[in-house]
Amino acid sequence: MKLKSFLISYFLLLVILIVLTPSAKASDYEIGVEEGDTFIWNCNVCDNDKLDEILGKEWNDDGFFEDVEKGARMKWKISDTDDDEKIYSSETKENETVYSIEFGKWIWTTNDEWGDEDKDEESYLFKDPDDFSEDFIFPELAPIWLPIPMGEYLKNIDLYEGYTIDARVIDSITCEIDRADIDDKYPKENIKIVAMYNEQGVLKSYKLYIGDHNVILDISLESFITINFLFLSILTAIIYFGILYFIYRIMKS
Amino acid sequence: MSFKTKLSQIKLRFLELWEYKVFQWAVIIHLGYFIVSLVCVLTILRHQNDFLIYFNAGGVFYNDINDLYNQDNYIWDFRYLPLSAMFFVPFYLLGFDLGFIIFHILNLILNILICVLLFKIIKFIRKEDHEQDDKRIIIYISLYLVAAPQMFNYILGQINLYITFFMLVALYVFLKYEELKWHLFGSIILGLSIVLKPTALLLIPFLLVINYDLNHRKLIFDFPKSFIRIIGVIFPISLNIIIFLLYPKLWDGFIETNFTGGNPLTLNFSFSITKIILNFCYMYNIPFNQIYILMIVLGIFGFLGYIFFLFGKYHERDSIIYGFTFGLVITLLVYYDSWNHHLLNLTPLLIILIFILPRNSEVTNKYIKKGFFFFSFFDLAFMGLWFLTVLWFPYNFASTIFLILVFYGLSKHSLSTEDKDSFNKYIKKVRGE
Repeated sequence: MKLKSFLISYFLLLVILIVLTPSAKASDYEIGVEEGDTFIWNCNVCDNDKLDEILGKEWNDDGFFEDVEKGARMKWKISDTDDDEKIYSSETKENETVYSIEFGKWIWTTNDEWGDEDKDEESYLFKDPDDFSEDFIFPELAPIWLPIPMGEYLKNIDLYEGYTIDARVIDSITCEIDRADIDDKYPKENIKIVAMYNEQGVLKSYKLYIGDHNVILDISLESFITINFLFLSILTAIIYFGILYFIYRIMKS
Repeated sequence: MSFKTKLSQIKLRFLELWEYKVFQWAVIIHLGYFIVSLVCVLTILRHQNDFLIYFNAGGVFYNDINDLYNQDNYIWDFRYLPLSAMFFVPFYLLGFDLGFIIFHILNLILNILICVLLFKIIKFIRKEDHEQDDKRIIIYISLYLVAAPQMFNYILGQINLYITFFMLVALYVFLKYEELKWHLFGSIILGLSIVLKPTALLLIPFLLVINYDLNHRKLIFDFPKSFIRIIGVIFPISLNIIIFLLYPKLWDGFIETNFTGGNPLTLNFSFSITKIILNFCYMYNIPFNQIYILMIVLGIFGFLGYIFFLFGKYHERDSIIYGFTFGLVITLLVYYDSWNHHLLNLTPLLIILIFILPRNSEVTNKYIKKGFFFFSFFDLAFMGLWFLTVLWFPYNFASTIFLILVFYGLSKHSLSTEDKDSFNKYIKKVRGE
């Protein structure tokens, strides 16, 4: 290959690509869930006594944690989504546009059978991150769902300073609440929440810690095993064992 | 020598290298990485890249330095020392597109300079039982250019090449010159790399010219050289203290972001031992304190690494190469976030080691070469596999194993006497005797 012609073609290609590269527009958010989607969460750890003591006895009276207990499951079935609904905001005293989802809810239960849904609920988040109040703390300390891309959306909300958003690998939120910062009676001591989200912006894992990462509440999203997933898992296992064998051979030789 | 003569010399040398097929392919593939990553960052990855953080940090430094560690300004946390943000101010002033294009071209130039430095260092330290032509050096440099972390580094808009470049400049100066002024210069350069990104922080203890000769039960310690090196490396870092004193709020932000904040807790594919332990604790709800885990892992590997370095049976001048490699391997094993693109700091040192060790050394064949090839071509695949297994097995362990193997190989060589004789030949060559 002639070096000169290679270099000339390369730089021409480079210049053309730079000139033709469109300026990407600022990203918009969207609701990641769709009508008909079902989500089931499992409660792996729930120290009710400690949670009552720290968050007050009403912490699991309603909302996402309603009647949660260790070993229980909870289900949502999305019935509708809307990215242009108007809701009156007590903060701005005006109607503001929100992302909303409606869902049938089966509250936390240890029964094997789901039966009929317990209630219909609606959950919403302001479309414009500026509509949230200052130093905002989510009702469940970490949201159950978010528009995607969630990292950018959250970064634009004026969140309480204890929030850390990490969307590098897995979308996640860490919230450290310092008792001294809070005017309310609860929480009674410093707590830390680590929440992770799936690609739809739905809560995948929720852990509430006290002290040196002692878990007192651990909730995780149930994941369904598809044939593709099973195939990939088997393939992964084979590759892993192959590599382990390879390393074993290196060590042995 | 005039600029024109120098330019024609470079051209001639490049044409000589172009005769090698492997070099031709390496250049083509590398330029492919360069162009694909440039287009990706300017389009689909425009809002998801590390350069955006540096760019914004430059902007915050320029506009309101007190806000530097307010993570609301960044898509991912800005974690580096405050003075590093100053380096990115010019890119900020150029605007994102032009700033990135310049930054990207600088990265390409740095890669070229790294290859030149690698070539010079290898020619300088190569043991006599290696092939005396340049072909094998060119093959390894070509492998460095086509290594998968290069693409990852470009596509993220990362600054690892600055660290590698500064580290190699320091190494070259330490190897080539005996005078204290040069050792001061080399260590200042290393200090600058730490200011830019603290990857090389754990290299500092290895700057000490210290060795315990087990055979003669004698401690050798070159105080003036050690002192000068430590002063040199501390100087640029200490300039940050002035910034911390002027803006006290920055100190809290820096500590929280790096050591006590939420980021170390979230699951990711970092291959450091600390992170693997943290992921394990997270998965199985085992109470933990991330600082204690970091300190314990650092204590174990730092102590062992330094002991092996201290008792290492190598010549004073070689010891800096082993020291740098020990320091980097320990960093990658210990710090929370050890990513694929950080391996670009380590692989050039592994190449140098391949040439400094005897041609058919067991340590080279068993540990160093295998580590080099794994880090260059296979680690990225394991990062992909991690995403498939994260639900029940969130451990990117393969690179960890190879890092431990390199650490073991270095330790084994440090205490062995296999090539002791060749050090004398090397000393003669360096001194021109």
